[in-house]
Parts: sequence; structure tokens; C-alpha cells
Amino acid sequence: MKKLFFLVFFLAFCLKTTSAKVFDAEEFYLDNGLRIIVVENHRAPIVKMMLWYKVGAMDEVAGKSGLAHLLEHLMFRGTTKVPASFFNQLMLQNGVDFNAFTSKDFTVYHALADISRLELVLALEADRMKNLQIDDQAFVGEQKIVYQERQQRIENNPQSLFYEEALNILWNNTPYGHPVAGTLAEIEALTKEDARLFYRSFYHPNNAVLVLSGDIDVKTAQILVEKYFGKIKNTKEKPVQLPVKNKRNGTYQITKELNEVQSTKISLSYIINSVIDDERRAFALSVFSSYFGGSSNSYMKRHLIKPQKVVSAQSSVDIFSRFMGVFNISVLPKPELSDDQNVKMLEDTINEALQGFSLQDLEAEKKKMLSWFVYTKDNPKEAAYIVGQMAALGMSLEKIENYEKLIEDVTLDDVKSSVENMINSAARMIAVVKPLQRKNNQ
Amino acid sequence: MIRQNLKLILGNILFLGLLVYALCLFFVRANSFNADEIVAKSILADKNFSVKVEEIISPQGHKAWMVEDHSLGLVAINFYFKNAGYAFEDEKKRGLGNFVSKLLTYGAGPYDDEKLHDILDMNAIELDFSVNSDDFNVSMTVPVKNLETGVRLLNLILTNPHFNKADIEVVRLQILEAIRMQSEQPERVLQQAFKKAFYNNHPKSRDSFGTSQSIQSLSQEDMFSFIENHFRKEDLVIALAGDLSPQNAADVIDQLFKGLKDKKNNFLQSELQPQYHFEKKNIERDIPQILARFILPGVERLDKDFYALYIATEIFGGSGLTSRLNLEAREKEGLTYGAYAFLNPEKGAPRVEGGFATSKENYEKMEEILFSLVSKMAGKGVTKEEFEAVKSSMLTSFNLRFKSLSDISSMLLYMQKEDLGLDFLQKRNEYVSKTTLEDVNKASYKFFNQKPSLITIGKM
Repeated sequence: MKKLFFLVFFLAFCLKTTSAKVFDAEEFYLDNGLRIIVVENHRAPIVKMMLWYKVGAMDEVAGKSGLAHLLEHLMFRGTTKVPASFFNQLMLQNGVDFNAFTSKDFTVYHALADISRLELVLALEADRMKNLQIDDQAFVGEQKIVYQERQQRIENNPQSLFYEEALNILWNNTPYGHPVAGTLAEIEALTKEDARLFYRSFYHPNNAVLVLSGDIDVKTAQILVEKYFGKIKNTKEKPVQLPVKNKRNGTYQITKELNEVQSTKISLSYIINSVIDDERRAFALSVFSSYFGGSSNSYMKRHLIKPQKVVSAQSSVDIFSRFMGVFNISVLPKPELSDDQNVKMLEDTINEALQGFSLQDLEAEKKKMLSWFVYTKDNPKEAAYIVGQMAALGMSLEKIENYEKLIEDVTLDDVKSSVENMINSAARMIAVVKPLQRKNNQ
Repeated sequence: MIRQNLKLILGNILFLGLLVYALCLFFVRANSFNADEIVAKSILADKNFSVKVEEIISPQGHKAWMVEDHSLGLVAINFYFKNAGYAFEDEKKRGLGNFVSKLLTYGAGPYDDEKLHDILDMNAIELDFSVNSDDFNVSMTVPVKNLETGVRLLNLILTNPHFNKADIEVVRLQILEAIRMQSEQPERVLQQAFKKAFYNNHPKSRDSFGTSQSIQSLSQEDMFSFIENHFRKEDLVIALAGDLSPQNAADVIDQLFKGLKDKKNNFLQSELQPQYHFEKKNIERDIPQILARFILPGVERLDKDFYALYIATEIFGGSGLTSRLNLEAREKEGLTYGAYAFLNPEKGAPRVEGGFATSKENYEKMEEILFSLVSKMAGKGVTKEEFEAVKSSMLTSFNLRFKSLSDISSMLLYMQKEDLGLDFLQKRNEYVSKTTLEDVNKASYKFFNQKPSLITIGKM
């Protein structure tokens, strides 16, 4: 391991001379496959710890929706060494700000701690990587709690429920085709054995990335991580992740009138390649999204909002995903136009924006995007998130440090061809949600 | 012979016993998790970290609090104009402050909307304007190399914004839509209803967005008179953090507020008469859960009972999963994804405020748990273990507040607003340490000794 450690160091050193690094991070691997990235920030004696497991709702088999998320909850309910809620109790006593989240792609455990408590945080995190104990009472309790969470976060708000449904249709028959929160019936049908199996299959050092961001150097990190995670056995092979099922084609449309919804909203989503499949195009689309509806002088602001053709409009991309990415446009339309007319106007606007997109526009937009990188190290929480997400996708540290260059390198041709490709052949979803009856006075 | 055998057997038993004991000891030691020992023996010891807050007075007489931090070449500036919040708005001009906050970056001085945003984006200048019930808040974060540009632009925005009529209409539409959308979210509806019940008819019960009628009637003239009335030197409270010296900071402040008028306006607020006891009320809505808000009386920030009641409230319903509310309602019964309570020390209306969400069928049980835990706080107080845990949490989490420059800068602003003193950061842990179990229990008896008032939304 030491050799590998040295080699990575050496490579990192060589890279330093060629281009500016975004994070100045260092990385090393344990023999068991755990990947560790350290981002130093010595403003205050605190550290953000993030442990990214490369498992999420997309790894759930049919009929088991909500399992990844339920397991995340169970991870706070005790191990053979730290039983019941002692984990939470210890975190409290030691002033650690901790939580976890589950997405379609990842399950992430994170904590912000005083430097004097980092060793304890690592010890506890390592302990629950291998010693989780799932007892009946905790299992049934957490099943109820995640159901309450689902109601609170999604079902209380008809609009959230609607978007969940729209996404299920868009991603139907793919690994993203069911909600992270799980459906009620499937949450109820989950068993302790399901959770145990999921834990055994995916919670391994070689299926995780640990990020330490803050007042710590790589040497100290190495000693501590080795001490607590070093003993955890490696699984011989990487866990089997689900094969990618058929990709999507065509247009899906869903329109609903809902009680309690007060204003019409239109959301247009295209399925695009993520950075893993097509880095060039993914970054080209992210530059275009910023130009079209992301930055404060966006094309849509100039051509739709200010001339009062719509009330508001934004676009965004999600390219850091394990399966596929999304290019989304969200609009609050004005009531004068029909839904179809609004959608047509949006499509025409993308086309016009693309036709007029010049080299000058490209360079200006890239410059704007790059200017914000100056803040990446201001908050150790944000640095940990960005680095962790990219690393968990399997991107090399060299790539992560070259984040700026990936944007700089986007050419006019990249943008033109990737946007054209998207509008002409990507699967897309048009989702419209509107008030149950349009009131006359509005 | 027998005796000898017996001796041997006894000896063996003794030996075996010892062996088993030793093995057990070994096993337990190897398998037990000793958190205190890990912390005590950690190679990462406590760092004696202290942040010095300085008070500076600029040549023009502006006072500001600042922290120097040269680690990243960034600067954060936060300030607010006192008594410019929505509770001070004229009845007919409700929502004016929020409207202005959304319009300020639509052009200033020689720059139109587009040019202004271009410069901000190219120079990574982050600007934010917002109102709360008391004040009008402004924050700027900027790389030190672009500080001059940032200061110049923000000065133009404060002294010479355009408020173009066409832009006013664009923003007006957005605010009207935002007002409409408020009622889509049950939490927002509940929050508004809670404010109405608690503040009674006081202007603090208003929504910062205003009403559809008031927004429709606001004019360009109103926007200009808002900044004329409120952007005044004497109403400023200022904080800075980052890569600059006190001398630089003083110059920056003078440039930033150059051209603001001197004379102070007197915007007074009618006295608050908060209602701690109101009838339980439900807002009917067909959703799967019932969402609840509850309150009990509390204390203000500088009250002698502040830390005691803060600790009691943390034990009762603090943010972690180990509060009494969460242990009982969440972990033990699985009734809710979470229940919380916190001490809100608002001047003139201090309170312990809390809430939860639970399915209709769980509601009654949930309410029962809430009431019984409240009366347990009043009857038996808290245990020594609970007290020590929360106290230790408050002490060890102290440094987490320094995570970003804007966190530091906005904390300096809060310290001034609440009169915590220039040396608060040095004294704070002392204040916590000095608080005793008796103090906490006294506060617990005093403030939890009543039924909380409740307001809910859902289908009862």
C-alpha cells in the first residue's frame, strides 16, 4: 500500500506543474480498496467527513423500492459494538453535526466535527461499515419512519407527487424508474433480510470513497483511516451492480390539474449522457444550460422573461450521475397561451438560442462559470461534496483537479452538436401541472 | 485422598474460572467501543482556537466589526439597515421592501441590467438582498482582487439604482405568482397562520411578499422613496470578514456608503403583544398528514435564563435524534419523521417554538406524547446525563460556526444586533460552562409549566 500511496503522491506532484488544481487535494487507497481524498483547509479546526457509498435507489431490484433509503436509516440504529442509539448519543455529546442522504446513485453519510473529534467520527463510521446489526424492533420502527418521511416530503405537496410520477414515466423500465423514497406498498413489504442482503452486497471499503475536507493533512489522515478502516476486509470483487437496461426514446407527456395548485408550471426534461458516458458532451451541455437559463443574464431572461412572454424560466443540468443525466427547463408561463403553444415557444427558443450561439458567447459564458471556482474552497462542506460526488462516479483525481479545464476545453462545435443531438433525438418529458379550475380573475 | 481430589478439582475450577474471566475480559475489551478513550487518546487534540473580533471606526465615522482571515483571498461584507423590515411598512405598501430587494440588481449608475450582471458574474461578486420583519439585509462575497469593483458596484446600487418601469413589471409578475404559490405549500400556510395567531394583528404577522392588492399598487416612486427613507448612514450595522486589514476595511466601508444620507429616520414599531395562549386551531386541507406548530413562552437573548432554557429546550426537542421528543415519538413509536423545538429569543416575543408532521391516524397519540413530555419537563426537569450531554455538545461544536467567511461575517452582524459584546466569542463557552443543572431545571419548571398552544393544518 505504501508504494501505491507514494506513486499517487508522485503523480499528483507532477501534475501540479502542468496546470492549476481546483482543490489541491491528495488521495490514497487502502489495501482493501477504500479510496480516500483529503482537501486541506486550515481556516478553523474543523473537518467535514463524507463517506460516499456507490449504491443508491438505482441498485434496488424490482419490487424493493425504498430499500437503499431504509438501510440508510438503519445505519443509525446500532451495531454489535455500538448498540441502539448510542451512535446518535455519542455524536451529540461530541458536538458533531451529522446526517445522511440517499439518491438514485449514492448513499452518503456525513459529519462536520471539531478536529479533536474526527478520530471518533472515523471510528464510528468504520464500525458501521462492517458491524451493522438490524434488530426487529428497529427495522419495523424505521419502516414506519421512512413512510412518514415519504408523506412529509412528497405526498403532502401534490406538486411533488406529480413530479415524482412524471419522473417514473420518463425513466420507466430503467434503473431510475422508481422513487428513492419508495412506494408505500413496497416499503411495507421490505424485510429485515432484504436490508441485510443489501448491506452485505454494497457496504464495502472498495465500494466507497471517503472525503476529509478541512483542518487535516494527508499524513495524519492516512494514520487514522488505516487504523480504523484498514482492518475491514475487502470483498474480492466489486459488488455486482444492476445491468443498465434499455435506454429511452421518444416523447412522454403528462398533464394534470390538481387541487391546491395555484399556478401552471411547465417542465421540459431531456435525457442526456452523464459525464461517465460522454464527458465532452456533458460539459458542453452544462455550458449551454448556463447560457440558456442558468446565469443571471441568461438567454431566456433576455428573450422570454424581460419581454414578458413568461413569468420566469430556468434551466439546469444534472450530469454527475451513474446512469444518465438530465437537461431540464422549468417555466412559469403566462395564462394567455395554451400548454402546447408554450411548449412550442420553448422549443423554438432553444433552437434560436442555439442558432445564434457564437464563439464570443461561448467564451463569455465559460469565463463566468470559471470565475465562481474561486469559492470552491471557502466552505469545507462544499468542497467535500463536489470532490466526493466526482470521485464516487469513478473520476480520477487528475480529472477532478482539472474540473476547470473540462469547462475551458468545451468548443463551439461541442455545444452545437450536443444540443442539436439532444433536441433531435433525446428522450424527453413534457410535464404540465395546473390548477384544478382556472379562476376567471387570474 | 478425597480431600486431595477435591483440592485438585477446586483448583481446576478456580483455574478455569480465572481463564474464563480473562477470556471474557479480553473479548469485551476487544469488542467494546470506548468513545471517551478514543477522544482522550486521539492524535488530534483540541486546538486552542480563538478568533479575534475587532471594532473599527472609519474616517467617515462608520462603526463595523471585523475578523481578519487571510487564508483564501476572499472578503465577505454583511450589513443591514435597521428598522427597514416588512413590519415597518405602511399598511398599503406591504411587500415594498421585498420588491425593492428583487429589483436592486436591475441596473445602477451607468450600467443597465445586462451590463451590471455581466460585471458581477465575470468578477465572481455574490450579492444578496433580503428583508425580514426587522431589517433590510445586504451581503456581498468577493475575491479580494475584485474588491474594488464590488464596492463600486454595490455603492452604485445603494445610491443610484434604476428601477426601470419595464423591470418593475417583470418583477411584479414574479412576486404575484410567488404569492399565489405560497398557498401550494402546507408548511407556508401553517407558518402564516401561526404568525397571525401569535403576533395577533401586529405588522410582524404579515407576509414579507405583501398581498396581491398591495403589490399591484406599488409604483416606481414607492421604490425610490423606500431607499430614500431607509438607506441611511445612521441605520447601518456593518460586519466584515476576510483578507483585508482594519485600515483597508475602514476605507472600503467609506467607499461603500459614500453618498448615503445622514439624517436618521424614526421608524417606530408598535409594541408587540404576543399571544402565548391561543385556542387550538386547524386549517382544513386534504393532505395525508397533519402538520403542527406549537409554542411556549421563552426568554430573550440577554436574559439570565437564556442558556438554561436553551439547554432545557435542546434536551426536550433539539435538532439531534436523541432529544426526548425524537426518542419517544420517532425512535420508539415511529409516529413521525421528526419533531423539534427550539428557543427563539426574539425581542418582545421570546418563545420556545416547535413542530412536527404525522399521519392523521397518529395525530392523537403524537399530541399526547407532546403534552406529556412538556409536563414531564415541568415536573421532573432533566437528568444529569442529559444535561451533561447537551452542554458538552454546545462546547465541542463551538468551532463549527467558522466554516465559511460569510458564516463568520453574518455571525458578527448577529452579535451586534443582539448586543452580545465584542468579546462574545471568547466568553461564550464560559457562559455555557457556568450554567448548572439547577439553573436548567429551574428554567424547565418555569417555562414548561403549561400546555403549549397549538395550530395545525390537515384533515382532522
